[in-house]
Amino acid sequence: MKPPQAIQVRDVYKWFISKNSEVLALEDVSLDIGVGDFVSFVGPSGCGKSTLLNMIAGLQQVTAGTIHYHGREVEGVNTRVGYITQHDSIFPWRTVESNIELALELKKVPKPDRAARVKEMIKLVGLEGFEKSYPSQLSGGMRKRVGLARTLIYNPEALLLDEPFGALDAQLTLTLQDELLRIWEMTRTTMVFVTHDLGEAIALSNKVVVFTGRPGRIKLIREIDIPRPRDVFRIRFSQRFGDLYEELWASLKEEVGKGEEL
Amino acid sequence: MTGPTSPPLVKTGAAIDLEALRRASLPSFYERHLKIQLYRLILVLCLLSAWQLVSGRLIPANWIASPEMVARTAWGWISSGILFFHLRVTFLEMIAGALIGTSLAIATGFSLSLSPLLAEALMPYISAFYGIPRIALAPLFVIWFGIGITSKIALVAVVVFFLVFFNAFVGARNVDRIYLDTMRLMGASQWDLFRKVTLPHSAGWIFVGLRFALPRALIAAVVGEIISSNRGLGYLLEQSGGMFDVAGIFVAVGVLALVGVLMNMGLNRLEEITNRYRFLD
Repeated sequence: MKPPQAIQVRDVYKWFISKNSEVLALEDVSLDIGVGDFVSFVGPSGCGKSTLLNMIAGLQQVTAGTIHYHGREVEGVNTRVGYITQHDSIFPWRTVESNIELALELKKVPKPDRAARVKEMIKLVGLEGFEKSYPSQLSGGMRKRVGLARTLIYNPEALLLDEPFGALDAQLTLTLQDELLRIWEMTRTTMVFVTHDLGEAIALSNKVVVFTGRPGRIKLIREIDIPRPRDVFRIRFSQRFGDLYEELWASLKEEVGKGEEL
Repeated sequence: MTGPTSPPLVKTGAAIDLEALRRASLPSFYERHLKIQLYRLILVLCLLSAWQLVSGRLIPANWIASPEMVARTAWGWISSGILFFHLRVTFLEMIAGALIGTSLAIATGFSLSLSPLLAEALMPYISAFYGIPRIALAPLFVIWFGIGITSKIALVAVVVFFLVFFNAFVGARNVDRIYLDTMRLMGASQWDLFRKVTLPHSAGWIFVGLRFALPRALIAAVVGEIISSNRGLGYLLEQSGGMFDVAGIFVAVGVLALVGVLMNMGLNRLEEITNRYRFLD
């Protein structure tokens, strides 16, 4: 029996109208993502990987083809997924606590229940002691943690991450990758991770999807058979990682720059 | 803004006594503050004496009433309750008009931000309206709403509306899409978006609008009263003028100045609070 599918992308095309010309962003993309899987999209900038993520979230519409989420076609905003971008969208006018409880507030969860869940989340992402701080008082890494906690609090079935660690320094990125893996191993939330960093994709994922330059097509889907639990700090020195990196980079290299030309 | 709490930098036994330094720096601060207050007092006393000297000697008292006459008129109005009665009317007109104008401005601004198409279609008309000196509408409002306070409330509301509307609209339009998307993915309704994203995000903008609007609201209320009314500070002004009561005009103008100063102090205080809502990153 096939494992249950969280996300099924079928024959998806996406055209944009930009400056009076039509741009084909995605061409004939089909893809399955299993429940509890960890899949990364890599490709040159402009290849439409973020667009695909937005379409799974229901924030953008497909021009042709279908996207099913847990068996139902995505129409309108998909409130069953969590969505985290490079630009952390935490609210500067709310404290850490009140940013994290936002989703429960919207779902009208009673206050005492909210407080308990918030406490749990703050512990999960290691923000104890900063409950009453405003985002402007936090470091970039802490803000990422707030964003993660705020999304995890409503138990989304899938997390869509669009270059979440894009603007952070190398050490911090490793630390947060490590935490993301820890959380994923605990919750087994389906993860769809968009990145331009091939090493990050290999270190984290079960599967890496390589996109071509614009128009984005799927060039290659590679299983990452590095055993878990993984140590993101050391994984880069393993032989298997090196081999996979070589293989995928050879494929990605041909595409880099293609998207920029247009 | 202070950073995250961290242990004190200087532990016990350090060479520098921070507490002593802090205490040493205090007197100079208070001294400076006291000096400023003293200078202000001296300035007022000088002005009052000069005024008293000039009035009735160099310039006839029925042109510039002496401080003494002004004080007597003021006391008469205060003790008889006349001043308070008219002040209350003007105040009521201003507050009611400002509340109505601001609410309508926010509602319209936010609604238009939802439909860029409609906003663009309407903009030239709104701009045309914006070009009218709103005070010019006063006679029309008197015909529509009578000489009671309703016509002044309407005038104040119109003045406030335009000054707040553009800011509310721009504030709402500039909300980063990602905030709205994040909220929608959490299942937020349009009302949730207004209340929890657009309003706090635009608070700074709206406040700037109010900053300009409230002093003009006072002007609108008073001018409305001067044009036609039977109560309010503007009425008091107009009455005193009609009777060549210069002292009365001085008192009314003085009270208006006081209201203006108090209003500004209130606004400053409010600004400190809303400043917290501004983007600090």
